[in-house]
Amino acid sequence: MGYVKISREPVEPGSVLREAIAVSRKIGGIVMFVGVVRSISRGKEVAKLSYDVYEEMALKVLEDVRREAMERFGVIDAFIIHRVGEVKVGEVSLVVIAADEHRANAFKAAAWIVDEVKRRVPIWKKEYYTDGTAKWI
Amino acid sequence: MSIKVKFYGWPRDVIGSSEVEINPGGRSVLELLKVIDKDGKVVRAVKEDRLFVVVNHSKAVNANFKPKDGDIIAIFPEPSGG
Repeated sequence: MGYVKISREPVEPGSVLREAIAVSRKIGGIVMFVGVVRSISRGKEVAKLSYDVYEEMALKVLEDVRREAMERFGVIDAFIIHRVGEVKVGEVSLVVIAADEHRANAFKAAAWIVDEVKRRVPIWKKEYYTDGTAKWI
Repeated sequence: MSIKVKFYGWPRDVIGSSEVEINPGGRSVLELLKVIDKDGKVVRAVKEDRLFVVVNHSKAVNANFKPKDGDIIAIFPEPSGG
């Protein structure tokens, strides 16, 4: 069964995908979004990100987003895993999976979940640049 | 008699602490922030509705809200995760 999680450890998308595949034999399409920390942001070279989280509220909101996505799109299952703390360039910051009988709903649900996570979940990122400066985004 | 005021994102850096314990004394969130925020940057942002104020992990309130003993107030900007 799907779940939401806030992780302080590196996230392995492949293992979450295997869990999603194992949820139900009715699943015919799985869409996975993987957010990765990129090396350039606003023209500056990024060394790392630091994610701050209001964990008590973030977990509730993540649960809300997952439940709403399942109701709204009728998908079989959904997973949302957000990394927090220090995340280096090239590491995974967000994994969203939507699984359904057919691909269309899974695509729509995954896109909607990513947008809602970015808009509603109380998590903030601070970019640290290679020139020694840093900025809250 | 005390409440906790928690700061996330840039307000945490401005305040210099993620959590402040204070006696509410019948004062509003805004009045309490004026005591906590020496710089005034967080107070300004709250007045301009650029920061959210949430009580006990669930209820969004405005800065005139008067916390009671044991309440946990969270102050934070618009999310930027993902």
